[in-house]
Amino acid sequence: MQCKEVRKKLSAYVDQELHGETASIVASHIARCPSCEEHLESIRKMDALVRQMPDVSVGPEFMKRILRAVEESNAPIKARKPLLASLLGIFHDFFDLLEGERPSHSRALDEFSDFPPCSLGHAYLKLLGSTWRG
Amino acid sequence: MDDPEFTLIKATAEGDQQAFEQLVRLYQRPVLKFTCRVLGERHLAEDIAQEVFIRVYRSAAHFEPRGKVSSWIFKIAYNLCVSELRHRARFQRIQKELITTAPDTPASGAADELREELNTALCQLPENQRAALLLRVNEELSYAEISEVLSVSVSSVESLLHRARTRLRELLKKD
Repeated sequence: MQCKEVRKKLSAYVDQELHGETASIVASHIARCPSCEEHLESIRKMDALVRQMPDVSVGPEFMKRILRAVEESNAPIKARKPLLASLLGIFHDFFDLLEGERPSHSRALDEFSDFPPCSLGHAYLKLLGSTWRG
Repeated sequence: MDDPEFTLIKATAEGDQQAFEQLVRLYQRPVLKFTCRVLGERHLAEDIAQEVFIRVYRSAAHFEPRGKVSSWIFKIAYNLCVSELRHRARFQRIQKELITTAPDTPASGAADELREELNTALCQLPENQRAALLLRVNEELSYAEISEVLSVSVSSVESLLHRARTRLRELLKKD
């Protein structure tokens, strides 16, 4: 492997992300090439500098700020209902409506009982009425 | 799963406030450090870090235990940073600001000057190279984890890191 190819691999070599034959080839090249070795050292030094950059300060107010923001953003989260469970829930509610007692909020339908005898509205109300009466 | 961080996510999804607080305590510093270095502006970084934790809280129920919690959190942070940089078109202004000011510490002495130079050089890298380098060097994420955060292949991560280090070397040599 030439210096040019080795240098492309030095970054991954420093990060120990080279494996097998490639890692051995790079390692043996560095051992006999002072220029590539110097390049490798400069990468290590740069990484050390990045690591030594001043840490950010985090005061207790940051946690408070997050908790307040979360509280303001929404009510406590709940796990999403699986799709099948949601569909079953809809069917369940639908059949409850048909089989159960006549729901109070539907009583207002009586107010529309003056549909003409041959209209769809009349047929629908009749159907609903027979279902509730059993 | 035995991963204690996953347990915290699961508990957060079930509405456990204490688990969420523990998660924030674990990640507030790395997330703020990351957003600060990527965005280069402390106040903006705090806003984004806050948004990261809101998203973590609200999306905890959808976390898939295939990956690591840290990769998931940094992915949220990275996407928010990129979105911030691109959509608000503030990148240019921030870069200019960074060239003249280092966010947290005033420069004093040769070591600080060098760090300031480094900070300036870091800000001249494209955001994906900068993020890859910070995730590798500061957070010690593997290439596979970085690829998850940045939504790129492992070989792209290798290339991003190689280019980031080469460019950084050139920039520091110039100064």
